[in-house]
Amino acid sequence: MLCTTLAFAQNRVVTGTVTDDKGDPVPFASIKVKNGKAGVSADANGNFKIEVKEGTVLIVSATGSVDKEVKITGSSNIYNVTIVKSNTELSTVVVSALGIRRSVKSTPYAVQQISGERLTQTRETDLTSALSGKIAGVKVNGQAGSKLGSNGTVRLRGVAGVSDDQAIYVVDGTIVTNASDINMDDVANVAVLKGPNATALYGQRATGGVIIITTKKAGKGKPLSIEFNSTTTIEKVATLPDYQNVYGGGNSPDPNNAWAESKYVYKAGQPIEWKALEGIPRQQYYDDASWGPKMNGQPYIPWYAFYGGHDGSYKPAAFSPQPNNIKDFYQTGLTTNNNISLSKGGKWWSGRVGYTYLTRKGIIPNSDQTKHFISTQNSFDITSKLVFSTNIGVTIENFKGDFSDNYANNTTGSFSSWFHRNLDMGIMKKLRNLRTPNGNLASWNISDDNWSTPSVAINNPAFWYNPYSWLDNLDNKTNRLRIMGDAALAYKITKDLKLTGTYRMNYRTTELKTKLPFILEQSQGTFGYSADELGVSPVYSKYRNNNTKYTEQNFELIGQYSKKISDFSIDVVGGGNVLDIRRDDSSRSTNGGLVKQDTFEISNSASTPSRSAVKNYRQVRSLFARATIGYKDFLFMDLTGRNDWSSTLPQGKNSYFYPSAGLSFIFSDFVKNSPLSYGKLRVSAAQIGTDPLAPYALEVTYAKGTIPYGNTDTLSGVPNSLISPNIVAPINTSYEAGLELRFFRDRIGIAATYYNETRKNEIVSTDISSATGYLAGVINAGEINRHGIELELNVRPIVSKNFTWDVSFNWATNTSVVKKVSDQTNLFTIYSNYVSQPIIAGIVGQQWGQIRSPAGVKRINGLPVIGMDGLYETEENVNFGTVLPNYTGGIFNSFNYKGIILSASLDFQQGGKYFSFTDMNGKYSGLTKETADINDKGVNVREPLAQGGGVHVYGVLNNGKPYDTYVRAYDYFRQLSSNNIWDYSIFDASYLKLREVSLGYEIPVKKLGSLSKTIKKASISMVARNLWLIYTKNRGIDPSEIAETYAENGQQPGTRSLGINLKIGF
Amino acid sequence: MKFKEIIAFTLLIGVLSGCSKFKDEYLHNPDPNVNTTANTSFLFTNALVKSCLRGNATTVNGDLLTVGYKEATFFVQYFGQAIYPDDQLYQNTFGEWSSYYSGPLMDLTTIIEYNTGDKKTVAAANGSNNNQLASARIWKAYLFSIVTDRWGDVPYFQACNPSIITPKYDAQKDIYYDLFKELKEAVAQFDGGAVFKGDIMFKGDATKWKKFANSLRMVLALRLSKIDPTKGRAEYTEALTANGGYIATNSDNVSFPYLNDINYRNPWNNNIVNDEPIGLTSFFVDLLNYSNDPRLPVYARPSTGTTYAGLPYGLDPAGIASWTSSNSYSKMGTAFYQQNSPGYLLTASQVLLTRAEAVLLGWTTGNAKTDYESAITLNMQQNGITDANAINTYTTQASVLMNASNVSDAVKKVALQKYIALYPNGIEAFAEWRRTGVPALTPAPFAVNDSKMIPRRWGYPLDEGTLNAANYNAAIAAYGNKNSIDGRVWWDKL
Repeated sequence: MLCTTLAFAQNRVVTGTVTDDKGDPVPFASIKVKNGKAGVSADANGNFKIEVKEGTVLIVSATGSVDKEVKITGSSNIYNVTIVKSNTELSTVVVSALGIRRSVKSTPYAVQQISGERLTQTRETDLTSALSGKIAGVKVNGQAGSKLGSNGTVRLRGVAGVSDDQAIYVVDGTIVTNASDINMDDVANVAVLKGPNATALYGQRATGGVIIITTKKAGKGKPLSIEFNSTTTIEKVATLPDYQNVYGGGNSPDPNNAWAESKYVYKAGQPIEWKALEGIPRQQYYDDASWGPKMNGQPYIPWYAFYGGHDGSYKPAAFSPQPNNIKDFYQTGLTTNNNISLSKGGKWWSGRVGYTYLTRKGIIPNSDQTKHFISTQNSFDITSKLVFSTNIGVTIENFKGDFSDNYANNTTGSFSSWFHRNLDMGIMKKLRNLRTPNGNLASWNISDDNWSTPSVAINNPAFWYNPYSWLDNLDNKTNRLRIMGDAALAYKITKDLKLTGTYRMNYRTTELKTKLPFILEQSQGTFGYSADELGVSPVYSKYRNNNTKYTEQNFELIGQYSKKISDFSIDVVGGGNVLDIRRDDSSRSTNGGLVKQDTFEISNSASTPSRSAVKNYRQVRSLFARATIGYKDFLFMDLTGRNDWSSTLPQGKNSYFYPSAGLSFIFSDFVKNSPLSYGKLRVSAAQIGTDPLAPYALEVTYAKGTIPYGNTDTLSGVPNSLISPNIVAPINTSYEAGLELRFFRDRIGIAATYYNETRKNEIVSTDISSATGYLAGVINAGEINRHGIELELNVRPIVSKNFTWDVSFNWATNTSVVKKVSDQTNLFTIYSNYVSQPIIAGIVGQQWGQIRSPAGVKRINGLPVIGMDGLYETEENVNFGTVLPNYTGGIFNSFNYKGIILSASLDFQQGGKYFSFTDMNGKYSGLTKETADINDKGVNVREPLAQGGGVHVYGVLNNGKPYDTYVRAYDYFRQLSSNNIWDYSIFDASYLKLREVSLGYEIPVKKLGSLSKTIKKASISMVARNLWLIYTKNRGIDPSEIAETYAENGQQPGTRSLGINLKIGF
Repeated sequence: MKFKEIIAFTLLIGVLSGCSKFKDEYLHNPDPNVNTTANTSFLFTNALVKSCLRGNATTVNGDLLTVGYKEATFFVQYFGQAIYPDDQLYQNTFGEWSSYYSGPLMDLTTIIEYNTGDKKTVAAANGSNNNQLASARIWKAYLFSIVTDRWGDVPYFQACNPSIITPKYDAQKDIYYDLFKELKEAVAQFDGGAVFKGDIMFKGDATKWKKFANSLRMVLALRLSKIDPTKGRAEYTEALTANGGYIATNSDNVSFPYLNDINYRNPWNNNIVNDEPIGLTSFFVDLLNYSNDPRLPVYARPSTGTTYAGLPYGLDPAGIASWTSSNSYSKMGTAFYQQNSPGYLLTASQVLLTRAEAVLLGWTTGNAKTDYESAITLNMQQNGITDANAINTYTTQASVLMNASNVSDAVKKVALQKYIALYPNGIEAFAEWRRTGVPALTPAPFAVNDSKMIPRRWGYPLDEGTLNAANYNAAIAAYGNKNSIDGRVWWDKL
């Protein structure tokens, strides 16, 4: 009765909108009467309505924001309230599945968000790299900065399937195939949904997790805002293997006996100018290893001396170390990134247009990239109930260069595997167009030491081109076009019910054109190993044109219903979706050279050209629903269900249903007068289904060959897989629990999550005895479990008028264990490349991703077994542990002193392994530092044993008795590759890296006088990326940028960049 | 229910029932070049191509099944390696057989199945069922003879059968007996009907197929000379007079018809590329020089000027590097590695040498010396040497001349001539070397295998030990429970 009386006394109805300091609405903010019980919640658009008495003080609060008190006085009944965020990384709403914004209180699973602002602090142009170390449980497998146009992949919570499921990127609801299509300047917010509990509503494509990107949009009624953002950075080579600088090119076990001949002797028939070289030692030019003589500056005949027409012709040079020859090969890269965006909103519309122009010059000679991003986000109120909105983005990207980091590529594939340490890169650069007597490109790797037919010997290299000559002549261009967008019509049927129909499209074409001119064919290595990205030996001049076209469409219809009935809130979302993916690829390539030199047309092919086309269409239809029931804003129950029908599963068995249920309890509502400002406990159980089969995988098919034999057709594909006709969709079942705590008015925030997820019925392609006539059987058999813990900590230790300090820290540990493969086998292959390399395997009872080597050192009680000669005894199929880390994480610090902002991000990984083919070859070829180290007698290991040289090897003999001896370095290091001993080329991938640092200054525009009327915001900052690899085992390779995720075969180097950024807002 | 609700409900049911049905383009590959039924013609061309061409080149032998298989040429010391000489040191102790089984052997099995089962009528569009069956059976027998000669006891009767996931290993004896039966039956199966369209080997010429089958039967029969002479003799004599005859002239020599096209080139063109650092061994060059063999300038290119010198065989990397820094060596003759050079699988000289041996063994009557000399003459002609005087000078010198009354010496001479004539067919030469012990070869001095001896067989593929464990374990029991390359196959009797 008292309440009623009071209510009668309250005589004003106040309405308003709660917005944040940027003017964006704050949904679900709480509006309470100070010292009273009455209160309401704002809706999703920040609008509220409350009945109050004159003079009442309202407390407006929202999680992640500083509370604000508003006194109701005066005549106006409209109170628009701006609240300030207390900590940028804690917010009130999260973007959940299907892009639906939800109150953070109601989600029963972990969602971690990061603002676009923080992601772009150092102006990283690639989203994947920008995410490194910022989200708990996100592991970025990056790619070296020298490889323009390629980007890394993201692994969330380790792995839960046979394959290394990648997270998907969803931009404003539309799935994007490649993260590089996302313009960082358009990103407003990134939310990461990690497990089935969060992603179940996204369905079968989301088993690897979802990264939801919300782009910037204009608000209704907003004045014109123009933002200009310009960044220029320079890049330098960052990581290179540690080379030895004592011994030069050659191949001899004894460096004292490593000259090709003691002295060059002129022979009749050789060019008369060579007489000048008589009596000077020759190097073993043809052997591309560095087991040569000691580099003491003594005179020798360098490779170029045999060719006329330049400064060094017919002259000796000093045989000296070139410690920086590889570093000098890489040029300084330059990136410019200019962005302009306009946004404005009227009474019934809002729109934003952005344009970004990115140019890059790579550190690899002759490589560059340009990229245009055009995007627009618009919304129109057709009537008060009908809203049309659209987001469209176009990306045009062109890049060129040779970025191959495969084995024996012409840059790193040579430098770190097959090279001479005495080569002067400056001379190589200068003589990039030097020709042999018959007009070929000259090379350091002269073909034959035999000199029986000298005119032939000096015309073609043994294996390698001069790397500059290769890059000058190879023309490798990629053009990409991506059009992505959506158009939606939303109709508000009643106050509580909204129906939205959306069409989404993601269209992407890539055209790759490779032109390999005749000069490279003519100048190729005589042994035909001049491997290149085209993978042919011998090298033929070539034209290749590959086109890929990918079209993904979604037809989506969603109904949303929300209602408050006394203390209960009901929120229902339901709908259906049709996903349609079409892939049309075609590739054409000449064979056996070109008839007319350097005319790059497919019809100019010397032999029958190769043509291939791939058509591959799939469809998934889905019905889904979620219901969230809230009680008094502190207890929420979430129920979801989804049914998918996949075209790739057997007809009649292509339907699969999966539900989820969760509870969220905001217990802080019951804890008064404590430092705890927010406390939430959440538990959930969820399932998610998936359809990992490729289209048409169920069919046994025979493909007609692309190259007929004469006029007779043949086949290019015969079935090698036996497919079970009873394949069904595998289902993951996950349990998740979490706790979120915030203290001292959100100055400290902690979130912890535990999850345990099992995939059953995984479709495995299990090897079967090839004597069956097949190589593999495809069945539902696998079972994989993953479980782990994720922690986040956000602290704002200092907040004062002039100085603020923000720290956030995240950490995650995950274990993915293979429980079952099939009845036939307990092993499946995840990755395999060359025959002599380890494979990455899933092995029952062990962590996913075991490095399994064809051979390893035999051990007794952990000690290596060696023979009397000191060489290792081996055993077959040795496991070296998983590629998955024990834990990953990152630390972000930001200091703001009077508008000067210094921020730095570190990320780390502990555990996990990778193998390095470069390291193996670098040892085999005597290139790396350890092949020329000083031993425990103080003598270089390369020197003869009699003179105290040799590698000191400790181990046990076959009978287990300890034994140690000295082994010639040549024998020691070469045995590793010869016998496939991988023990010493598999490295711990643990690292700690200072990835990003930026120092910015917010220019106080208000002090700029008349300019301040036009310039609203201005800042300038210095940005640096990949600054310092603080710790890792093998410093020659950055373990956060492994070329093939598990391994590398000729890794291109990473880059370190430094730049300046200017931002102006009008 | 209200009318509206009924409509909504009906719509929902309609949507749900329609959800599970997809249009054809999502269920079946829309590419017109991809079919769910095999065209037996394409399949046969594919089987022949895959048997004789080089597939992926990432390993030393790629997918080589017959012609150009390098490792065997190192074992019999036709060739040695001049740079990175690891493979001639018997480093690869096991061999991968998936290229045979899941390649042409499966294709041939499918052809046989199509021509005998319910797809018989469809298959007949590519030639009479019998002609298809006969050709496929002969080629399958040929490939299986190589498989069993390389590994010994191998899956045979249960192989290439998707309903048996772990096929049993059959005794080589049983396999050989069945190969004889297959060859015999296949020869009788040609029916004179429409020729097999995909037959790029003999273009449907049944006589050529018969000659190939009968000759192969003779070669395989002679392989039993030590272990099972009774069966060997019976098969040999029957094959000798079988319908269709055997390969007796060079025009009947069997080679895959390689094209002057990089896609269908002789594997030696790929192996040698421009000048891969492999060369004839000094053993082989010396052997040819010893008898002033006129084939030497065809088999090899001069090392310097007009002289021929071989590579010292079986040195380690350092040894060979030091040798090559001051010496030159002879490489394969140009006639052998052009894109369209023939790569012989079975030749008249090879068959005539089996005839000479069969006479010497008393299996058949005839004149061993005449056969022997004709075989040499045919092989000289095959190599472009037509000067009768030069051939006569060669055959009449003491080291070559046969004295048929000295049987053991005559048999050795036949074997030696076969060794020379088979060059560069390493797989067949390796089988014959194992059977005859001729020529006497010295193992690589720097061999890296356990026994340091020349291998007697290839080890089973390693994954058989896990994927087909019980059968694999039963098979290696014959080699002391070790997947040993020193173990001998059934016919390889001490």
